Amino acid sequence: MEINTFIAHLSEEFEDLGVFALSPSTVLRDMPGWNSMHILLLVAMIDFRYQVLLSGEHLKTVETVNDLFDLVKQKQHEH
Amino acid sequence: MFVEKTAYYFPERPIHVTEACFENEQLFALHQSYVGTTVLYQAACDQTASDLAMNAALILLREVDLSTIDFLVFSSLTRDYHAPSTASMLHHKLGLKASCGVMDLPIGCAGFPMALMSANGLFNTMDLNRILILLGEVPTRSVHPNDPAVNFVFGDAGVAVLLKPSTAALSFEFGNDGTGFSSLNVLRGGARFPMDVAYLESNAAFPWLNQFGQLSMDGHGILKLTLSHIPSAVFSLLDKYGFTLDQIDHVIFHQASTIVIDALQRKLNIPSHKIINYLAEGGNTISCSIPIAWAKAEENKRFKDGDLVLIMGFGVGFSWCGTVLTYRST
Repeated sequence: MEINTFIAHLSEEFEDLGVFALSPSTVLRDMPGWNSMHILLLVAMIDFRYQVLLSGEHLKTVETVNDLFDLVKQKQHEH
Repeated sequence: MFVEKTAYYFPERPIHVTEACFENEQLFALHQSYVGTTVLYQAACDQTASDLAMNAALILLREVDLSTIDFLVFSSLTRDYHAPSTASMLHHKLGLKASCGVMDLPIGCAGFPMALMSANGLFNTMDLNRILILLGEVPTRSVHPNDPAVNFVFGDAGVAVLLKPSTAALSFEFGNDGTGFSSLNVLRGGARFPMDVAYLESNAAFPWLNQFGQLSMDGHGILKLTLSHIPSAVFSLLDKYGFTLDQIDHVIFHQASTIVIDALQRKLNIPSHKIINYLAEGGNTISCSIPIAWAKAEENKRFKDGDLVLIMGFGVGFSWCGTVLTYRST
Protein backbone atom coordinates (compact mmCIF):
# COMPACT_ATOMS: atom_id res chain seq x y z
CA MET A 1 0.00 0.00 0.00
CA GLU A 2 1.51 3.23 -1.26
CA ILE A 3 0.65 6.68 0.04
CA ASN A 4 0.54 8.06 -3.53
CA THR A 5 -2.13 5.55 -4.51
CA PHE A 6 -3.99 6.32 -1.30
CA ILE A 7 -3.88 10.04 -2.11
CA ALA A 8 -5.10 9.35 -5.66
CA HIS A 9 -8.06 7.40 -4.22
CA LEU A 10 -8.85 10.23 -1.80
CA SER A 11 -8.62 12.89 -4.53
CA GLU A 12 -11.01 10.91 -6.70
CA GLU A 13 -13.51 10.90 -3.86
CA PHE A 14 -13.15 14.62 -3.17
CA GLU A 15 -13.61 15.79 -6.76
CA ASP A 16 -16.18 18.35 -5.65
CA LEU A 17 -13.51 20.12 -3.57
CA GLY A 18 -11.99 21.24 -6.90
CA VAL A 19 -8.35 21.15 -7.91
CA PHE A 20 -7.09 21.20 -4.34
CA ALA A 21 -3.79 19.28 -4.30
CA LEU A 22 -3.62 16.74 -1.49
CA SER A 23 -0.31 15.89 0.13
CA PRO A 24 0.57 13.68 3.11
CA SER A 25 0.65 16.75 5.36
CA THR A 26 -2.73 18.14 4.24
CA VAL A 27 -4.94 18.63 7.29
CA LEU A 28 -8.27 17.11 6.27
CA ARG A 29 -10.58 19.46 8.10
CA ASP A 30 -8.69 22.52 6.81
CA MET A 31 -9.41 21.67 3.19
CA PRO A 32 -11.55 24.40 1.63
CA GLY A 33 -15.15 23.21 1.49
CA TRP A 34 -14.56 20.34 3.94
CA ASN A 35 -17.84 19.09 5.36
CA SER A 36 -19.03 16.18 7.50
CA MET A 37 -20.29 14.65 4.23
CA HIS A 38 -16.65 14.14 3.17
CA ILE A 39 -16.11 11.91 6.21
CA LEU A 40 -18.86 9.63 4.89
CA LEU A 41 -17.26 9.62 1.45
CA LEU A 42 -13.87 8.67 2.80
CA VAL A 43 -15.30 6.00 5.14
CA ALA A 44 -17.12 4.39 2.18
CA MET A 45 -14.04 4.64 -0.06
CA ILE A 46 -11.69 3.14 2.55
CA ASP A 47 -14.15 0.28 3.20
CA PHE A 48 -14.45 -0.40 -0.54
CA ARG A 49 -10.75 -0.17 -1.46
CA TYR A 50 -9.02 -1.24 1.75
CA GLN A 51 -11.68 -3.38 3.53
CA VAL A 52 -11.38 -1.28 6.68
CA LEU A 53 -14.49 0.25 8.26
CA LEU A 54 -13.47 3.26 10.31
CA SER A 55 -15.57 4.44 13.25
CA GLY A 56 -15.96 7.97 14.54
CA GLU A 57 -13.73 6.98 17.46
CA HIS A 58 -10.91 5.96 15.06
CA LEU A 59 -11.15 9.19 13.10
CA LYS A 60 -10.85 11.38 16.21
CA THR A 61 -7.09 10.77 16.18
CA VAL A 62 -6.72 11.71 12.51
CA GLU A 63 -5.50 15.16 11.50
CA THR A 64 -3.61 14.76 8.25
CA VAL A 65 -3.80 12.60 5.15
CA ASN A 66 -0.73 10.77 6.45
CA ASP A 67 -2.44 10.05 9.81
CA LEU A 68 -5.35 8.55 7.91
CA PHE A 69 -3.01 6.46 5.75
CA ASP A 70 -1.23 5.13 8.87
CA LEU A 71 -4.56 4.33 10.55
CA VAL A 72 -5.80 2.37 7.53
CA LYS A 73 -2.49 0.45 7.36
CA GLN A 74 -2.67 -0.34 11.07
CA LYS A 75 -6.30 -1.54 10.81
CA GLN A 76 -5.41 -3.71 7.82
CA HIS A 77 -2.71 -5.41 9.92
CA GLU A 78 -5.16 -6.00 12.79
CA HIS A 79 -7.42 -8.00 10.45
CA MET B 1 -47.15 -14.13 -2.82
CA PHE B 2 -46.87 -11.21 -5.22
CA VAL B 3 -47.55 -7.46 -5.29
CA GLU B 4 -50.84 -6.93 -7.06
CA LYS B 5 -51.09 -3.14 -6.84
CA THR B 6 -49.44 -0.20 -5.13
CA ALA B 7 -50.43 3.41 -4.51
CA TYR B 8 -48.66 6.22 -2.72
CA TYR B 9 -49.70 9.58 -1.41
CA PHE B 10 -47.57 12.64 -0.73
CA PRO B 11 -49.09 15.40 1.41
CA GLU B 12 -49.96 18.61 -0.39
CA ARG B 13 -47.29 20.81 1.17
CA PRO B 14 -44.06 20.55 -0.88
CA ILE B 15 -40.71 21.72 0.49
CA HIS B 16 -38.46 22.55 -2.45
CA VAL B 17 -34.82 21.87 -1.66
CA THR B 18 -33.10 24.88 -3.21
CA GLU B 19 -29.90 26.82 -2.71
CA ALA B 20 -31.83 29.18 -0.43
CA CYS B 21 -32.18 26.30 2.09
CA PHE B 22 -28.41 26.21 2.65
CA GLU B 23 -25.76 28.57 3.96
CA ASN B 24 -23.91 28.59 0.66
CA GLU B 25 -23.83 27.21 -2.87
CA GLN B 26 -21.26 24.57 -2.00
CA LEU B 27 -23.37 23.04 0.79
CA PHE B 28 -26.31 22.93 -1.60
CA ALA B 29 -24.15 21.17 -4.24
CA LEU B 30 -22.99 18.64 -1.64
CA HIS B 31 -26.57 17.99 -0.62
CA GLN B 32 -27.62 17.47 -4.25
CA SER B 33 -24.77 15.00 -4.88
CA TYR B 34 -24.86 13.01 -1.67
CA VAL B 35 -28.35 13.27 -0.18
CA GLY B 36 -30.14 13.68 -3.48
CA THR B 37 -33.50 15.21 -2.51
CA THR B 38 -35.04 18.02 -4.60
CA VAL B 39 -38.56 18.06 -3.21
CA LEU B 40 -39.94 16.73 0.06
CA TYR B 41 -43.51 16.74 1.29
CA GLN B 42 -44.71 17.75 4.71
CA ALA B 43 -47.94 16.61 6.30
CA ALA B 44 -50.30 19.30 7.62
CA CYS B 45 -50.27 19.80 11.41
CA ASP B 46 -53.52 17.88 11.81
CA GLN B 47 -52.52 15.00 9.50
CA THR B 48 -51.16 11.84 11.09
CA ALA B 49 -49.19 9.04 9.44
CA SER B 50 -52.38 6.99 9.26
CA ASP B 51 -54.17 9.82 7.40
CA LEU B 52 -51.45 9.65 4.72
CA ALA B 53 -51.76 5.85 4.56
CA MET B 54 -55.56 6.18 4.38
CA ASN B 55 -55.28 8.54 1.37
CA ALA B 56 -53.04 6.01 -0.39
CA ALA B 57 -55.52 3.24 0.49
CA LEU B 58 -58.41 5.20 -1.01
CA ILE B 59 -56.47 5.45 -4.31
CA LEU B 60 -55.49 1.77 -4.23
CA LEU B 61 -58.84 0.29 -3.30
CA ARG B 62 -61.08 2.16 -5.77
CA GLU B 63 -61.93 -0.96 -7.75
CA VAL B 64 -61.16 -3.61 -5.16
CA ASP B 65 -63.81 -5.79 -3.53
CA LEU B 66 -63.09 -5.07 0.15
CA SER B 67 -64.51 -8.43 1.23
CA THR B 68 -61.48 -10.10 -0.39
CA ILE B 69 -59.09 -8.43 2.11
CA ASP B 70 -58.39 -10.88 4.91
CA PHE B 71 -55.63 -9.09 6.81
CA LEU B 72 -54.33 -5.53 7.27
CA VAL B 73 -50.77 -4.71 8.36
CA PHE B 74 -49.96 -1.08 9.20
CA SER B 75 -46.32 -0.05 9.37
CA SER B 76 -45.32 3.29 10.92
CA LEU B 77 -43.01 4.75 13.55
CA THR B 78 -45.71 7.25 14.52
CA ARG B 79 -48.94 5.50 15.37
CA ASP B 80 -52.08 7.45 16.21
CA TYR B 81 -52.52 6.09 19.76
CA HIS B 82 -50.68 3.94 22.26
CA ALA B 83 -53.85 1.85 22.11
CA PRO B 84 -55.73 0.61 20.19
CA SER B 85 -53.58 -0.31 17.21
CA THR B 86 -53.74 2.14 14.33
CA ALA B 87 -54.44 -0.79 12.00
CA SER B 88 -57.63 -1.41 13.97
CA MET B 89 -58.76 2.16 13.36
CA LEU B 90 -57.82 2.04 9.65
CA HIS B 91 -59.75 -1.24 9.37
CA HIS B 92 -62.83 0.55 10.70
CA LYS B 93 -62.40 3.65 8.51
CA LEU B 94 -61.98 1.55 5.36
CA GLY B 95 -64.99 -0.59 6.23
CA LEU B 96 -63.12 -3.89 6.11
CA LYS B 97 -64.96 -7.01 7.20
CA ALA B 98 -64.88 -8.16 10.83
CA SER B 99 -63.01 -11.36 9.93
CA CYS B 100 -60.10 -9.28 8.50
CA GLY B 101 -57.27 -9.35 11.05
CA VAL B 102 -55.08 -6.35 11.93
CA MET B 103 -51.54 -5.71 13.14
CA ASP B 104 -49.24 -2.68 13.64
CA LEU B 105 -45.53 -2.92 12.85
CA PRO B 106 -43.63 0.03 14.33
CA ILE B 107 -40.32 -0.97 12.74
CA GLY B 108 -38.95 1.93 10.70
CA CYS B 109 -36.89 1.71 7.55
CA ALA B 110 -37.11 -2.10 7.31
CA GLY B 111 -40.90 -1.94 7.88
CA PHE B 112 -42.02 -2.76 4.35
CA PRO B 113 -40.02 -5.98 3.88
CA MET B 114 -41.00 -7.01 7.43
CA ALA B 115 -44.67 -6.42 6.58
CA LEU B 116 -44.14 -8.56 3.46
CA MET B 117 -42.53 -11.25 5.60
CA SER B 118 -45.53 -11.23 7.99
CA ALA B 119 -47.93 -11.41 5.03
CA ASN B 120 -45.95 -14.25 3.47
CA GLY B 121 -46.16 -16.20 6.74
CA LEU B 122 -49.95 -15.67 6.86
CA PHE B 123 -50.40 -16.74 3.24
CA ASN B 124 -48.28 -19.84 3.86
CA THR B 125 -50.28 -20.96 6.89
CA MET B 126 -53.82 -19.94 5.96
CA ASP B 127 -56.05 -19.78 2.96
CA LEU B 128 -56.27 -15.99 2.51
CA ASN B 129 -57.37 -14.03 -0.57
CA ARG B 130 -55.62 -10.72 -0.15
CA ILE B 131 -53.50 -8.89 2.42
CA LEU B 132 -53.39 -5.11 2.55
CA ILE B 133 -50.22 -3.37 3.73
CA LEU B 134 -50.58 0.28 4.69
CA LEU B 135 -47.58 2.41 5.55
CA GLY B 136 -47.44 5.98 6.77
CA GLU B 137 -44.59 8.12 8.07
CA VAL B 138 -44.27 11.75 9.21
CA PRO B 139 -40.53 12.09 9.94
CA THR B 140 -40.56 15.85 9.22
CA ARG B 141 -42.33 16.22 12.55
CA SER B 142 -39.23 14.99 14.35
CA VAL B 143 -36.71 17.13 12.45
CA HIS B 144 -35.03 19.98 14.33
CA PRO B 145 -34.51 22.85 11.87
CA ASN B 146 -31.00 23.54 13.21
CA ASP B 147 -29.71 19.96 12.81
CA PRO B 148 -27.92 19.68 9.44
CA ALA B 149 -27.69 15.87 9.73
CA VAL B 150 -31.44 15.45 9.31
CA ASN B 151 -32.59 18.56 7.48
CA PHE B 152 -33.89 18.15 3.91
CA VAL B 153 -33.35 14.39 4.09
CA PHE B 154 -36.72 13.09 5.30
CA GLY B 155 -40.19 13.47 3.85
CA ASP B 156 -43.71 12.42 4.84
CA ALA B 157 -45.73 9.91 2.81
CA GLY B 158 -48.36 7.21 2.83
CA VAL B 159 -48.38 3.96 0.87
CA ALA B 160 -50.86 1.14 0.22
CA VAL B 161 -49.88 -2.24 -1.20
CA LEU B 162 -52.17 -5.11 -2.06
CA LEU B 163 -50.76 -8.65 -1.96
CA LYS B 164 -52.09 -11.90 -3.39
CA PRO B 165 -50.93 -15.44 -2.77
CA SER B 166 -49.08 -17.44 -5.41
CA THR B 167 -47.25 -20.74 -5.58
CA ALA B 168 -43.86 -18.98 -5.72
CA ALA B 169 -42.05 -19.45 -2.40
CA LEU B 170 -40.39 -16.35 -0.98
CA SER B 171 -37.32 -16.23 1.25
CA PHE B 172 -36.35 -13.41 3.56
CA GLU B 173 -33.11 -12.27 5.09
CA PHE B 174 -33.32 -10.26 8.30
CA GLY B 175 -31.29 -9.23 11.29
CA ASN B 176 -30.61 -6.69 13.98
CA ASP B 177 -27.62 -4.96 15.60
CA GLY B 178 -28.71 -3.18 18.76
CA THR B 179 -25.48 -1.15 18.92
CA GLY B 180 -27.24 0.98 16.30
CA PHE B 181 -29.36 2.51 19.07
CA SER B 182 -27.02 5.45 19.46
CA SER B 183 -26.74 6.14 15.71
CA LEU B 184 -30.41 6.78 14.97
CA ASN B 185 -33.16 7.34 17.51
CA VAL B 186 -36.11 9.38 18.74
CA LEU B 187 -35.89 9.13 22.52
CA ARG B 188 -38.70 11.27 23.87
CA GLY B 189 -42.30 10.35 24.29
CA GLY B 190 -41.97 6.64 25.10
CA ALA B 191 -41.95 4.88 28.47
CA ARG B 192 -38.21 5.33 29.08
CA PHE B 193 -38.01 9.08 28.51
CA PRO B 194 -41.50 10.60 28.72
CA MET B 195 -42.04 14.17 27.56
CA ASP B 196 -41.50 16.34 30.64
CA VAL B 197 -42.09 20.02 31.20
CA ALA B 198 -38.42 20.90 30.66
CA TYR B 199 -38.37 19.08 27.31
CA LEU B 200 -41.65 20.61 26.19
CA GLU B 201 -40.49 24.10 27.14
CA SER B 202 -37.14 23.66 25.39
CA ASN B 203 -39.05 23.23 22.12
CA ALA B 204 -41.25 26.31 22.48
CA ALA B 205 -39.94 27.53 19.10
CA PHE B 206 -40.30 24.10 17.45
CA PRO B 207 -43.62 22.83 18.82
CA TRP B 208 -43.88 19.96 16.30
CA LEU B 209 -41.00 18.24 18.16
CA ASN B 210 -43.34 17.85 21.12
CA GLN B 211 -45.54 15.39 19.27
CA PHE B 212 -43.16 12.48 18.65
CA GLY B 213 -39.81 13.70 19.98
CA GLN B 214 -36.68 14.76 18.12
CA LEU B 215 -34.89 12.61 15.58
CA SER B 216 -31.17 12.24 16.17
CA MET B 217 -28.91 10.73 13.52
CA ASP B 218 -25.18 10.06 13.35
CA GLY B 219 -24.65 9.68 9.61
CA HIS B 220 -21.21 8.12 10.01
CA GLY B 221 -22.52 5.53 12.50
CA ILE B 222 -25.42 4.56 10.22
CA LEU B 223 -23.15 4.31 7.16
CA LYS B 224 -20.77 2.06 9.09
CA LEU B 225 -23.62 -0.22 10.25
CA THR B 226 -25.00 -0.32 6.70
CA LEU B 227 -21.65 -1.24 5.16
CA SER B 228 -20.93 -3.86 7.85
CA HIS B 229 -24.29 -5.68 7.62
CA ILE B 230 -26.10 -5.03 4.35
CA PRO B 231 -23.68 -6.41 1.71
CA SER B 232 -23.45 -9.75 3.57
CA ALA B 233 -27.25 -9.74 4.07
CA VAL B 234 -27.70 -9.29 0.30
CA PHE B 235 -25.41 -12.25 -0.39
CA SER B 236 -27.16 -14.45 2.22
CA LEU B 237 -30.51 -13.56 0.67
CA LEU B 238 -29.27 -14.46 -2.82
CA ASP B 239 -27.91 -17.76 -1.44
CA LYS B 240 -31.36 -18.64 -0.09
CA TYR B 241 -32.76 -18.29 -3.62
CA GLY B 242 -29.75 -19.80 -5.36
CA PHE B 243 -29.40 -16.61 -7.41
CA THR B 244 -26.36 -14.54 -8.26
CA LEU B 245 -26.57 -10.75 -8.44
CA ASP B 246 -26.32 -11.04 -12.24
CA GLN B 247 -29.71 -12.74 -12.30
CA ILE B 248 -31.39 -9.89 -10.39
CA ASP B 249 -32.96 -7.26 -12.68
CA HIS B 250 -33.50 -4.43 -10.17
CA VAL B 251 -32.31 -3.54 -6.68
CA ILE B 252 -34.31 -1.29 -4.38
CA PHE B 253 -32.43 -0.38 -1.23
CA HIS B 254 -34.16 1.69 1.43
CA GLN B 255 -33.96 5.20 0.01
CA ALA B 256 -31.77 6.49 2.83
CA SER B 257 -29.58 8.93 0.89
CA THR B 258 -27.66 8.82 -2.36
CA ILE B 259 -24.35 8.44 -0.50
CA VAL B 260 -25.60 5.24 1.22
CA ILE B 261 -27.13 3.77 -1.95
CA ASP B 262 -23.99 4.57 -3.96
CA ALA B 263 -21.69 3.04 -1.32
CA LEU B 264 -23.72 -0.22 -1.34
CA GLN B 265 -23.84 -0.27 -5.11
CA ARG B 266 -20.08 0.10 -5.35
CA LYS B 267 -19.33 -2.47 -2.63
CA LEU B 268 -21.68 -5.03 -4.18
CA ASN B 269 -20.58 -4.14 -7.73
CA ILE B 270 -24.15 -3.67 -8.98
CA PRO B 271 -24.50 -2.06 -12.43
CA SER B 272 -26.09 1.44 -12.19
CA HIS B 273 -29.05 0.58 -14.40
CA LYS B 274 -30.22 -1.99 -11.85
CA ILE B 275 -30.32 0.48 -8.98
CA ILE B 276 -33.67 2.14 -8.31
CA ASN B 277 -33.14 5.58 -6.76
CA TYR B 278 -36.10 7.94 -6.51
CA LEU B 279 -34.83 10.01 -3.60
CA ALA B 280 -35.14 13.23 -5.60
CA GLU B 281 -38.90 13.40 -5.25
CA GLY B 282 -40.07 12.69 -1.72
CA GLY B 283 -36.74 11.93 -0.01
CA ASN B 284 -36.26 9.37 2.75
CA THR B 285 -39.79 8.38 3.76
CA ILE B 286 -38.77 5.63 6.27
CA SER B 287 -40.88 2.49 5.69
CA CYS B 288 -42.62 4.07 2.69
CA SER B 289 -39.40 4.51 0.70
CA ILE B 290 -39.13 1.05 -0.88
CA PRO B 291 -42.75 0.70 -2.05
CA ILE B 292 -42.69 4.31 -3.38
CA ALA B 293 -39.52 3.49 -5.37
CA TRP B 294 -41.25 0.31 -6.60
CA ALA B 295 -44.35 2.28 -7.69
CA LYS B 296 -42.28 4.95 -9.43
CA ALA B 297 -40.18 2.33 -11.25
CA GLU B 298 -43.45 0.77 -12.40
CA GLU B 299 -44.81 4.18 -13.51
CA ASN B 300 -41.62 4.75 -15.47
CA LYS B 301 -41.97 1.33 -17.12
CA ARG B 302 -38.70 0.02 -15.74
CA PHE B 303 -40.18 -3.35 -14.75
CA LYS B 304 -41.06 -6.14 -17.21
CA ASP B 305 -43.25 -9.09 -16.35
CA GLY B 306 -41.13 -11.69 -14.57
CA ASP B 307 -38.34 -9.29 -13.55
CA LEU B 308 -36.61 -10.17 -10.29
CA VAL B 309 -36.56 -7.24 -7.87
CA LEU B 310 -34.35 -7.45 -4.79
CA ILE B 311 -35.51 -5.19 -1.98
CA MET B 312 -33.55 -4.51 1.19
CA GLY B 313 -34.78 -2.27 3.98
CA PHE B 314 -32.42 -1.15 6.75
CA GLY B 315 -32.10 1.59 9.31
CA VAL B 316 -33.24 2.52 12.79
CA GLY B 317 -32.45 -0.32 15.20
CA PHE B 318 -30.13 -1.09 13.44
CA SER B 319 -32.54 -3.53 11.78
CA TRP B 320 -32.73 -4.94 8.31
CA CYS B 321 -34.93 -7.17 6.20
CA GLY B 322 -34.98 -8.06 2.51
CA THR B 323 -36.47 -10.36 -0.07
CA VAL B 324 -36.63 -10.96 -3.82
CA LEU B 325 -39.98 -10.36 -5.51
CA THR B 326 -40.98 -11.34 -9.02
CA TYR B 327 -42.71 -8.46 -10.78
CA ARG B 328 -46.13 -9.21 -12.23
CA SER B 329 -47.84 -6.69 -14.47
CA THR B 330 -51.57 -6.59 -13.78
